[in-house]
Formats: sequence, C-alpha cells, structure tokens
Amino acid sequence: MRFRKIAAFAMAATMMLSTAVSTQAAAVGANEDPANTEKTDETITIALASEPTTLAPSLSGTAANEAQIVSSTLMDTLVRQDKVTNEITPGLATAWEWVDDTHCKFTLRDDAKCYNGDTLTAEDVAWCINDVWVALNATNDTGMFVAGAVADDEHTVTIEFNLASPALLGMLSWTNFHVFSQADVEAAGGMEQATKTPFIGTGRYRFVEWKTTEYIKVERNEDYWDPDYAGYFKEIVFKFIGEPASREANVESGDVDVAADMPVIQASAFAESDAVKTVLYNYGQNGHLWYNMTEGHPTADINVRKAIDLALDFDNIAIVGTAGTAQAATGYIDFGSYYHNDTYTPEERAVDIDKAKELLAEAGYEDGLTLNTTYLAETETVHAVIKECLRQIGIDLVLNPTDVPTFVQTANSGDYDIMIIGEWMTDRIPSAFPFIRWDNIHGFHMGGPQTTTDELDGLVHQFIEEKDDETALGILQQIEQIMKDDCMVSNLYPEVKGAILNPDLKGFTTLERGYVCPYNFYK
Amino acid sequence: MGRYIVKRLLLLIPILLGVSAIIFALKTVTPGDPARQILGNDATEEQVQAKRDELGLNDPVIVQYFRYIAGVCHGDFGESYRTGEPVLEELVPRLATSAKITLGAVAIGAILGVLLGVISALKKYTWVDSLVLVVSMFFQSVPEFVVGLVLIMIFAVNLHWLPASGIETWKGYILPMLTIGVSSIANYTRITRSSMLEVLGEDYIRTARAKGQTESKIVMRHAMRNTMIPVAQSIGTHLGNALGGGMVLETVFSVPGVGKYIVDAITARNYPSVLGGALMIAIILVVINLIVDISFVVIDPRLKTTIIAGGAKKPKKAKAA
Repeated sequence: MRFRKIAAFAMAATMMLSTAVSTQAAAVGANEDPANTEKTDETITIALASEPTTLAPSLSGTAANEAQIVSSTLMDTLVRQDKVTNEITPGLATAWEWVDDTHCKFTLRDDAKCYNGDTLTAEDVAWCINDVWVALNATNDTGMFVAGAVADDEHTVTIEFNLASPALLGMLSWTNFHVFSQADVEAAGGMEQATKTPFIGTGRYRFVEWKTTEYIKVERNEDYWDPDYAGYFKEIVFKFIGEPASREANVESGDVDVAADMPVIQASAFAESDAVKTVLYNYGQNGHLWYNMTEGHPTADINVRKAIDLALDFDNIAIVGTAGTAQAATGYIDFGSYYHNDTYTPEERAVDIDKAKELLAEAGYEDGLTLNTTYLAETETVHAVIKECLRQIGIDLVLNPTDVPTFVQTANSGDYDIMIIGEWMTDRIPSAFPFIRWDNIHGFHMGGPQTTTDELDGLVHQFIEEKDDETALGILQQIEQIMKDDCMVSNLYPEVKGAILNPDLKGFTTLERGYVCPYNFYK
Repeated sequence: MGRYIVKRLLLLIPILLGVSAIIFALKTVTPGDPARQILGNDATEEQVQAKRDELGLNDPVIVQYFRYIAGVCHGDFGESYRTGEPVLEELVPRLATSAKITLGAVAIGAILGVLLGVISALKKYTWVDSLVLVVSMFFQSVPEFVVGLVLIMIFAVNLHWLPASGIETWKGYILPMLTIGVSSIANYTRITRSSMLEVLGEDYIRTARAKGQTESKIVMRHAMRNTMIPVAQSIGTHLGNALGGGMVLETVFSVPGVGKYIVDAITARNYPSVLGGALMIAIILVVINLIVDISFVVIDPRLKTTIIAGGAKKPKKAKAA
C-alpha cells in the first residue's frame, strides 16, 4: 500500500512538473545563445550556495564549485570546448599541433594582456604549467596528467603529457587549467596571497574585492583580447546565500539576478512562476547506485546485487530524482554524450519482485536483510523511493542522511552497503571510471566499488587512450557489459541541476560539470 | 559587590572548560576529516595524514584539548583551517554584527511585548486581552526560520521595501531583527501581563487610586517600575538566546554574523572556528547574566542583599518603594 502511495505521488509529481520538462528544453536552447554583444554599466549579482575557499584553485591545489565559477571570470584557458558539440576552439592558444602522442605544441595569441598589462608569453605559460599545475596539483586533474612544459619561443609552448589520450585537449578547457603569469602572482603578493586577492589573469573580468562572508566583486576587463566578447555587465557581484529558499527569494525580490546551484525539487516548484525564470538542466552526469563488493558486505554476493537491481523501480526513481525532467538511465554514460550506450533494454529495467526474492533466497537471505546507505540531504526523496522498493523484497535499508564531509569520509572508508555517486562524462576524460581502475586517481577513493579486475582496468585505459572515437565507443560497450554482467552498479538517472534567474536575463550557459557560467549573461 | 562580580567571573572558568570539553568530545565522534576537507577529495591518504600531523589532529584528544586551552589562556583561539587567519580576528567583526542584530531584536521584542502586556493587563478578560495573547503566542509557536522566510516574501519580494539578504545598508538589519524580535513578543507579553496584574493588586496602587491619581499616571509612575523587574530578567535571558540561536536566521538572511560563522565552520569541519565561536558566545552569555543581575540592584538597591547573599538567586518581585 505504501509503495502504491509513493508511486502515485511520483506520478502526480510528473504531471505537476511537466512544465519543468519544457523549462529544460528552454535551458538547452539558452545554452546555445551567443555571448552578449553590447556593454552596459549595469551590475549582475549572482548568489552562490557557499563562499569559495580560494579564488585561484590551481594555486590552492584544489578545485571546488564556487571557486571554479568565480575564477572563470578572471582567468583564461589555452583552449575552449563547446559544451554541446565538444568541439575544441581557440582560447589563449590560436593553434595547436600534436608533435607525438604525448607532446602538443601550442601557438599563443600575441594580444592577451596579463593583469599588469604585459603580453602573456610562452615563458609565462610554461611557468604556470610547471610551477603551478604540476608542482601544486600532483594529486588532482590539474597536475596529474601533465608532465611539464617548455617555451619554444616567445609565442610557442610545448606541453608534455604523461599519457596519450585525445581527451587531454578537452581537459585543458576546464577552469582549473587557467593560465596566468609569474609576474602577476608575485605582484599580487605571492602564491598564497594570490588565492585571496587574485590580481592575476588575462580574463574577461578583473578582481576588485573579496569581502569575506559577504561578497566578491569583479569588474569588466576593458582590454580583453577577444573581439567577439563584449561583457554586457560592468560588474559581477557574487553573494553567498546558503539557504536555497532564501536564494530564490532574493531573485524574486530583485536583490539577486541569479540563484545558482538550486536543488532540482525546489527549483522546479518555480517552473510556472512569472516572477522568475527557472532553468533545469542536464549537465552530462549520470547518477549510479554503487554496490560495496568488499568481502563481508551482503552486497559482495552477486545475487544480492541483482536482486536489488530487479527491485528498483527505475522510472519512478528517475521521476523523483530529476523532478520529472528525464527518463531513467539505460547505460552508464549520459544520454547526451557521444559515448552513451543503451546497455539495458526497457524489459531489463522492469521491476521483478518475485525474481528478486528468489535471488535473495539463493543468497541465503530468504528472511530478509538490513543494508545501509549514506547520502546527501538533497537526494532524500530518491532514497525514500529506493528504501520502499527494497522493502518489497525484504530488505530494510537504513538511511543515513549527512553533509558533504561525512559523505566523503563514508565513501572513502567503504562503510556502506550501497551508495549513490554520479560520474560526469560528456566527452572522454582522462580520469574516467575512477571506481573501477586500480590507480583510482580522481575523485572519491571509494572503499567499496574500487574492487575491479585487470581486465576492466586495462579496458578503461584503452578507452581513454584510443585515438579513434568509434573504437573507443566499442571498448566502452565491453566495459559496460562486464559491469552489467557482474552487476557492479545500477545506473539510475541523468542528474539535473537547477538555477533561478531574473526573468529579463538571457545567455544562461554552463562551464564544465554544470557550473553556472557567470560571464555570458545579458538582457 | 566587587567580590560578587569576581566570584561570578571566576565561574566562567568551569563553564568555558565545560563548553570546550563538550565540543572537543563532539569533534571526536563527528564523522568528516578536517584534513580531507582542506585538501579536497583528490588528496592521497599520505597527504591527508601529513596534514593531520601538521594540524595536530593525530595527537590524543586530551593533548589537543589542553593545548587548545593553553592557547585560549593566552588569547590564542587558534587559526581557521579555512582561511589561516586567527579565529579571534575573524570573530570580532562578526560578533559586532550579531550584537547589533541581537540588541535590535531584543529591543523590538521587549518594546512590543511590554506594550502588549500592559494593554493585555489593563484590558484583562476582554477580547483585546485574548487577541493579544493569541497573536503573540502565534509568533512564538511558528519557527523563526519560517517567520523569516514569510517576512522576506512580504517585505522583500512583494513590497520591495527591504533587501532579502545581506547587510550592505542599514535596511538589511531590519528583517533579521524583526524575525528574532517578533518571536519573543509572547514571552514579554506574558511576563508583563502577569507582573502588571500582580502589581496592580498591591496596596500602594489602591492608595494611589484613592488619592485620585489618573490611571495612566498610576500605571506609568507606580506600577511600571516593579513590573519591569521580571521583564529585565527576561531580557537578559533573551539576549543570550538570540545571540546563540541566531545561527539559522543568519544563514537565511545571509548575515555575516557569528552564528553563520559557526554554521559554515561546522559544515567545513573547521573546528578552531567552531570552538572559538562557541566559547565566545559562552563568555558573552555569562557576562550578560552578570550584567542583568547587577542591573537588578540598580533598579532596586534593596535587592543587593538578596542577590549577593544568595548568589544568582533573584526574587520574583520587589515591594514598592
């Protein structure tokens, strides 16, 4: 009875939120908007969910949502990547050429000005790569795949990578691969001080002020090198408003123009409001339910994992998880990616309680069992549905809602039976499949799903390094088939992010991983 | 009196030891590694352990605790894991912000509460009395968080009179003050009403009436002073509660006060900031209570004997002068 109630609620939610689907479609359209073409003296205020800990992530050896958003206004990357087509376009580099599998030569533009007015040179780029990316970021993406750089002449720099992969160029467009000069960093007071007062970079905007706990202010760079970019707003002010309801109210009141990082359920509630514009957008990350396959956990038994997979009502989970904006995942990779495979047929996604109970009995759990999961509060409703699904087959799922630090610690320690963690992959990335490779070099060092095989690990590396996209797609199919056969993970749904905007605002675009892009807005 | 103040200030020591010990104990059982928080998810286990060594987190808790206490004794509340700045330096401006909001909120609550309490007492058992009690109880029973959001919807979203968050201008202080203030009106109203009813039944009030004094003069000149003694006591308590309990509201209104500072620090497992903020609030609470006790003596010097002889014990009411 309780399950039927949840299902009914989910269906009702689908109907109520059908408008949100059209909002998502609008969002995709908005992503294709050209950047603004005129300058004004207006200010745009963007409310972030929390205050960044640094304004120059690579100098701090870290990357966090808010820091990426703010620093994207101040600094540039060597190349850019179209978020829809994945096409690589010029940034600070006007051209690039692979010398061999691991060396790429970049020709720099000669009109990009550093904060101090000097032209950005190959020496500057080489210093940034060697002394910042590599030296300070050895354990994250920024430095993990780069061996170093050499300035060939004033405008040419060659970067050496420590693996061969066509995905490396796209990676250089991410905000943590910003480039800035040593002279700027020293003038700003050194590396540590530059993370707080980043008077550095060649970006669209210039740092003005960071008033801790209140706001960060940046001002349009009138000497920006890109003639195609105007910078509609003279100033961008970032405020920190932790409470989502308060962020939304600030947009409605006109105190703020953009409320970033809104939980999808809350954002979708405003889909029909005339007072604000709601944007719900898919950013290329599928949510996956990982099974802890470590010895001693019931989920180490494949029959338990398969039983859970058969008990999960993927359609309703997707409805609740995406506020009705997306269908259940049919593969590991997001629908929008070139690398998406339909690993599961609709029939394979159907709920089969009887079969699930049989499998549990085979595993020796005919009287049921208790499992635990830890999750962030924003996925509370998804976990409520999963708990109800598992109750149908006699599994009591203990729910442990928590905050980010505890979530990370639980993931690292492997102190869970099942856990939802998403993976972002719109294009091939060097750090793909972190949980099923031996080196596990990126993201959560999961205690459980890190169980893998030489075969899987080898396939992951082949997938990353393969030059031909179609061949890579074939390799990916093999990886997904192995994961499916072993039921290592249940693919749930494409994760959706939300933002609330001033209704007059246009030009909503995103950075990598769905971070709101702060500099393309206009009216 | 001097000895009494010193005695009360000495009580700070066990209170602060207790508060810090409790927070240290919570720190040991709270999941989430501060070193991992600082270094990010990409850091290796070796890097995390090195950071834990650097922060002294691998030492026994008792060693960490006494090291911290020794620092506090020298005015060193530690450095924020997040910014690397001394916690005390970060706390001072935030305390000033929180203090402004707290004082404003208490003033709003006390003024409106006393006014309504007096009206309620003078119109006892009438519909006015009932209405005042119902309205004030309503504001007390609705969570401050909800009151805050409703006030934002009314004054910021619909009327556009006040900002929905931040304190860039004086207008930004109004909604947080109002939210905390209206939630305490019921308390002041109830105390004022009962106290006023009691005082109005006293012989000296009857005498004043018999002398032909006007009702307004009786209330303002004779009844009000004695009515205010329990109200003053309540103000002291409310000051402490408002300061310590402003965490959620400071988050809702995005006010850079000590409450938001502690909430953000908890989320980031920034324990020096959590400890510093909590200890600072504890110190302020003790000092406020001391000031309130001393204020009783100022209001009615005859209470000097009672309070000082009986420690913190206070009488329910005082006889009229």
